[in-house]
Amino acid sequence: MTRRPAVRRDPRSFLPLTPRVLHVLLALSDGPLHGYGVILAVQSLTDGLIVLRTGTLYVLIRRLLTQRLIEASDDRPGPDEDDERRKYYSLTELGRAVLQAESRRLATVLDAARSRKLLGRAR
Amino acid sequence: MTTILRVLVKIHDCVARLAPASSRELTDDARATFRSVCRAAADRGRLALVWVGTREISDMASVVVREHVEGWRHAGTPFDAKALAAVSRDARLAMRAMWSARSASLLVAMTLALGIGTAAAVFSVLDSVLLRPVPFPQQDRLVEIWNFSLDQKIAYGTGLSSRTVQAWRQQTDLFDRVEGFERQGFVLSHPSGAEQVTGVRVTPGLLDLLGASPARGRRFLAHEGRAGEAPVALVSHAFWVSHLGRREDLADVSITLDDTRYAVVGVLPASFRFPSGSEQIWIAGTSDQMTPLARLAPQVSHDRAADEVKARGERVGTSAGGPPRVTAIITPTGDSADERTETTLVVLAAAVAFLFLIVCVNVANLTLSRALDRTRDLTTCAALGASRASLFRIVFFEHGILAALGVVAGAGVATLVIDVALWALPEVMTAGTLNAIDLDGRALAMLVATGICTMLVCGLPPAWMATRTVVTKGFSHGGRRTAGSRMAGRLRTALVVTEVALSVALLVGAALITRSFLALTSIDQGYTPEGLVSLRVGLPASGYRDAATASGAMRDVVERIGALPEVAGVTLGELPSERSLMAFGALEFPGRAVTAGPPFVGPIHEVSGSYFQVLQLPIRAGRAFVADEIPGAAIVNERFAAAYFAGTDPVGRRFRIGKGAWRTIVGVAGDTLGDQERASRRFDFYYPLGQAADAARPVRRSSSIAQFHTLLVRSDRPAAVEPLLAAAVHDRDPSIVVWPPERVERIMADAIARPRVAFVTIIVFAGFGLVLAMVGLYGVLSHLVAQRRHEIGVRMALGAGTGNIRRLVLGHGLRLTAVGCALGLGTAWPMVRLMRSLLYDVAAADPASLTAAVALVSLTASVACWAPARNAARTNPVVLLRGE
Repeated sequence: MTRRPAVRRDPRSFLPLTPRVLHVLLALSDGPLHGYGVILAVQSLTDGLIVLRTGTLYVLIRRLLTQRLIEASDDRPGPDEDDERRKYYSLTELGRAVLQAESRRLATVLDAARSRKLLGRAR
Repeated sequence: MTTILRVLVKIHDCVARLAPASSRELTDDARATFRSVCRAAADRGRLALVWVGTREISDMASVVVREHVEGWRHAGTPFDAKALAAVSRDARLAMRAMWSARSASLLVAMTLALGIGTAAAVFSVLDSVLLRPVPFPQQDRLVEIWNFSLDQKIAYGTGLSSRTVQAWRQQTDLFDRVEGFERQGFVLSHPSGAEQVTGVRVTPGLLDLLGASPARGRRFLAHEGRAGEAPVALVSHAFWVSHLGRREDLADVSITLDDTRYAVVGVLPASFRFPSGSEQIWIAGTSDQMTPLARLAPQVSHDRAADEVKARGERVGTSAGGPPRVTAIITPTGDSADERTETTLVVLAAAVAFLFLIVCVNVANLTLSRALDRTRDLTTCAALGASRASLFRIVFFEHGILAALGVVAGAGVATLVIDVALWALPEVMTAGTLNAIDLDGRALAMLVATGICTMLVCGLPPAWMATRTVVTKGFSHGGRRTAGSRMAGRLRTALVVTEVALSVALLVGAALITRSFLALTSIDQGYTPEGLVSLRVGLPASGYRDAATASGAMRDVVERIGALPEVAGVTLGELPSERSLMAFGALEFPGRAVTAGPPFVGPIHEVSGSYFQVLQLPIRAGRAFVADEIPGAAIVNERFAAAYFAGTDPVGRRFRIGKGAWRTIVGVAGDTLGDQERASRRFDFYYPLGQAADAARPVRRSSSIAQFHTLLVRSDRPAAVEPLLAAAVHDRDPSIVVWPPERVERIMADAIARPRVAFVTIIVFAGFGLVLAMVGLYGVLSHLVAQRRHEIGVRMALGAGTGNIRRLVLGHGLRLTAVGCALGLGTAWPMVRLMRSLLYDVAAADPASLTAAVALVSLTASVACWAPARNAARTNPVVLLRGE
């Protein structure tokens, strides 16, 4: 995999994220996960609305690795749940910043929706 | 379930391996994830697993394609971007076309799936039983060492002591390694009772020699099995599931075999089969009845080893305390599929090949008619500027997708058929192989290859013809016949004739097997099996070592059972078809010269006096045994009497077999079937109870049982008697081991399991083939009627009645059928020749079977032709001609 020079890009230049990317980043925000863990986390985050297939997931992971939003993690869980073949992934600093930026953007979207009374009464 | 999972993982691995090199490092990880996803789906059942797995695989496939396309783009497009766009457009068009005709597409894919699925399943059974070598490391150097008697010129596999194994081990110039094994029956006792299990006693290194390692636990250690060591056992996967409840922790698991406690130290993998597929227990130990299993030293050739072993055999044997005049020979291990199993499987393979050909022809027919139906679409494409290459590509993609669907569904069909086969095939056919029977890589590769080839060979030529029609003729001809469609029509006719011919061939086979099977089931056994119950009991060694005590106990047991209500008679002795006792050697008569030649082998039945009366086996001359029988009395069967005492009275004459005691014939009994499957008659010898000490017992059984006996009980209501039998025996002594009673009728039915499998399978295949052929015939005639509507309209306008029209179409269909039948009878010949050895009491060229097959095809053909004929006759000429 070719790595680009380590020039930190502006997090906002990644926005808007696609729903899948958003949920993968969100799933990884709790800590390192392996591929199957990501699938399960995204499924539960979206109440089963987004079911990632293995092939699609690895295309995403590859893209996010190239963009340096995530990285392969050395931080592995306890030895009993660990499996040698598996790789774990975690958010990079940049990834976290992008996730925050996207969340803020979505928050403004939500505010706009609320002010137009699309979500019932604003909390 | 695990087979499906394995198949899915394999397919997924293959697909993932096609990914570009740059993303290869992630695919390992992706594989692990795929496994987890599938395992989770498997918890929700088979269907969920197949569904999720298929979706995952298709997702991976599309990702792989996209990655490659991206890669090409980045690499400066060695592919013409336009061409790429055109290809992807054609692929999309093909998808849409398939979706719009989804039922027809599904029909093709399912036909293909059934065809290649059953073919792959039969192939994998055949492969593991007949083709594949035994699954052990350096299998070509593994040999068994058998005894060979120089006097009697016979070889036998058992009866070598552990010392002999040790002596062979010292012949280091010939063998790398020598271990030994002995098949053995054990009585397994557990709190709820006792049962007989089959097992093997092995030297500790045997599993190492075979390269087997337990799925759980450990192998035997070198010192285990010696006298004074704690007894240890390994169990089969099946035993672990059925008796140990899949316990993961084996630390304090033990089983009681023949009153000895064995610690279970490991579970062998489900795929491990040695010396056959039916052993449940392996114990470490030594014995004097072993078969040595040896690995040839690297520099020793088979021929040299064979010569050397024969030359040294007697010396090695006697040095270890063996008998003189007995040398040794080597024989390859695992070569145990007998001839009839082989023929049965080959006939099944032939039947599945016929079925597969029918499927191919049907696929060709279906794709041809699809192509013809799509003529108008393709014509539109051509008119809008699509090149012939583009049209062909669309059709090609359609076939590719159909092939892929067929292969995936075919894999499902194959796993299902293998499951059914393992359940339905009799143990005599599957136990012999040392290979696991499942859908392995070879069968899977064969499945994929056949699927793709079938689509290419059967799908593309019709597609090519259809596109030719389109491009050469264009729109103008509308529904009317063109030169190309006439050619396609002719091809379809030829295909249907082929289909009919193949299904006639299959039906001839089916009819022959059916007649043979019916003859086999209705054969006269020589006695009356209906209403007989067989009950096996074992007298434990503790308490019954003394012969007098044992016979007293058995007399008591017989009396108690005889006193039960509904019991009409009870006797001691095994069924005539069992062969637990044998006598072999030269056959001798006083005053006659001993005939030279191969040794005489005779089954001995040790029976009590009431045996003949209870079995209703007639005594033709002389008498049955009486209570105080003279020593050396014997009853022979009619066949023996006719062979050696033709024209004289055999009663009172004497004979002996080998070195056995002299016997005096006191009676002649009727013949019984020696071999159920071939319904052959043979010689039988009946000796009174307790007088067969000189006969050989080929299989040693449990050491904790002093004597085995079989009780035969006759009753008009066997169902009412069966549950009372065990209690009656235990009433005498609760320590007597009693096996579950068996209905003799059922034993007889099991004995012809192999012919039954051939019978059932070929009937199913033939039925399936017939349906496919008739669907083809129906399709062709319907198409023909649609094409000849104009002609039919004109005929009707000129005064042809509906009857004439119906006859026209029906006649056409039946002419095709007649040609097909004639060809089919010719095609059937090679298969029938192959089957000849499986047939009983039916000639291979049995006219009744041939007539039945032809009649059935003709009858169903008339039904298949009826609907198109009726439609043709309903044509309204006025409407039709006005439409012109």
